[in-house]
Amino acid sequence: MNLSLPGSATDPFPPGDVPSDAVSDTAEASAAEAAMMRAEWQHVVFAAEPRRLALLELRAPWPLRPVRISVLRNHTVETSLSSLRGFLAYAGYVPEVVLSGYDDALSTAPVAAADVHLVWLDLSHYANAEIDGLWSWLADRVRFLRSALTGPIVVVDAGPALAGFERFNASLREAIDGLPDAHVFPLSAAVPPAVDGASVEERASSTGTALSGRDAVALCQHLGLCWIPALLQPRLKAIVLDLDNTVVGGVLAEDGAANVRTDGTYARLRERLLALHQEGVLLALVSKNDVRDVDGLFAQRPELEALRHALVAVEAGWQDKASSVRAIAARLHVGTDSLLIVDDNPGEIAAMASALPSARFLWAEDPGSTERALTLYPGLLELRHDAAASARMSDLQAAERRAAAAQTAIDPAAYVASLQVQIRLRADDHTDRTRLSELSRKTNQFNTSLARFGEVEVDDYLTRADRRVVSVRLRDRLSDSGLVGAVFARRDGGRVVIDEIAISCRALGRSLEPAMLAAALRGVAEGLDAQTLLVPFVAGPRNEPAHAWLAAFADSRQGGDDEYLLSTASLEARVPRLPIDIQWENGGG
Amino acid sequence: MADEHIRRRASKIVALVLGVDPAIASTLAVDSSPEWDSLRHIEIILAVEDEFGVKVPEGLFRSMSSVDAITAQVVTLRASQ
Repeated sequence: MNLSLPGSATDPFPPGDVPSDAVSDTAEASAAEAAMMRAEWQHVVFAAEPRRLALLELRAPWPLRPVRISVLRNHTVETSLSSLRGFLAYAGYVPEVVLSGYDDALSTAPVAAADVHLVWLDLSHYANAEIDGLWSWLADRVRFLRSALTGPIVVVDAGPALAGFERFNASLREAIDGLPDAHVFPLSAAVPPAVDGASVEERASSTGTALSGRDAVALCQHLGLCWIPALLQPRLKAIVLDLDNTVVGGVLAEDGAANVRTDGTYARLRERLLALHQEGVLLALVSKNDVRDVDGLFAQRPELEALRHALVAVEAGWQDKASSVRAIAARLHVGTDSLLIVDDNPGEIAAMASALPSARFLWAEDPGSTERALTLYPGLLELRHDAAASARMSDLQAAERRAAAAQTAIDPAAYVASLQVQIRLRADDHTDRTRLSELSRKTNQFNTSLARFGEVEVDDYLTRADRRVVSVRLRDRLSDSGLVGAVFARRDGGRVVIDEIAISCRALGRSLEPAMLAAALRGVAEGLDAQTLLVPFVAGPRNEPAHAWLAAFADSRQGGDDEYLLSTASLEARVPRLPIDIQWENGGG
Repeated sequence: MADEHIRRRASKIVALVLGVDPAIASTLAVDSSPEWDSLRHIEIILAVEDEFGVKVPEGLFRSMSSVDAITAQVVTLRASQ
């Protein structure tokens, strides 16, 4: 397959987003060329049973970020992991795999400096062990590893070959669930159903592993496309869908609303999209159709009602699609690098990739392969339940009503009062750990340092006496935004350093940042016994809002532009008085 | 003709797994090529299996020691499986 490509020449990474250690397999391609090549790769990487030779032939012409994977194992994993490279290359990574010795006791000193720690044991080595003793022992070892390592830990669970594997997996999962950034990889769910015993590797004495060659590739597919990217990068926030021959079969303007196809694989694709929507991924539609035709389609076809309800934005018209996508990104308050754009037209993909080089693209060749790709696409896996998912949707709908009200308000204080804003703060609340890490890893606009704390690092702020983390929750009359702000602080000798302030983009644009941060920083200062706070600033591609807040509210700078000094007294004096109900919920202030 | 097609693909597998030029892959053999170690050998066999849709019995692993030997075994296995 060779997709034609309209000419273009754009860097596939946005300015400032190119890692200094990025490498590529071949000469780098333009964004459009890279998007076309990724489309060509889809047949290989998203295949129901990917072929090793096809994977070996893949050479990425786009920058790849190195990822160091430490594997703690008791069996031969080299031949199993050899196909990982092609899947990771699609996701934008190049692996360096560091293997432990063969260690049934899991007592080898782990490689500390790894981006991901993979614990992969062949459980047939413990055939004489009781199931309960086995999972309990493994959970203990993972707890030990968690205390010794900072990077994410992934434990491969038991495949169907282990008698009692379902109980083993459920118990292991429950035991590890509360550990920060420790996850159980579902091997039994990742491998395809056995055909004629194909999953049983009776040649294990020669291959060195009980996993069959077919299952090894399936494992690499899920690790390389879904799991490792999910551990290393923020989740994609929205999917922007084309309509004709993507969400429905046929061309609306030619076939008419009554005749486009919505059944069969199109119905299954909608189910997949709605499942992603339930998991917190926003859905939007961009279509080169008359908006009345699109409205008519949704009105006439009741089977599309659930999808229409899930679409947070629809842009229909004859303008170029990149402009429509930009408009949607602005409405959703997200960067285009948080978007996955799904379109059946390679020419449209190439044109959009040139204009939106940081966006991701999926070529919707047919609804069946699109549905499968959406189960595997890098950046869509929800590792842990996203508690903010439902808040995000209602917040976006409320944002448009707020914006309309703000435009007509004469008195800003009266407008804020009408919203009945409530800000609630908590100090060192362990139940917030996952969400605090998400805020640190995901926020780009209001983020003072882009520190990108994982759950283990967040745990340090939650537990150590010389550290403090404040969670900020926000609600008003129109929506409950949930946990939208985080302040990470530590005592450093005689001073207190604010390592990161992160506020969700959903909370921005309401002029509430000064008030919520004044209260949060006062809680930090009181908790760590300080009057003055030092806030280092690290510039990123999009965090000017955080910089502007510092410039407006800091007392002074030191170290040039990089560090700001804030006193809580003068900070509170500078904050505009607004009718906002601010309270601490756990006595942190 | 069919054998030549198998040979070309087998040669490609050996070249890609061992990281050598395809032109020299067909001249290599397990016993005479340091890069063709036991792990790479298993990897080659697994790639051969899914490329040609055959299952290689454990007893034949050692005999698939060059591109020519792989080609011959694949032809035989295809006929019998």
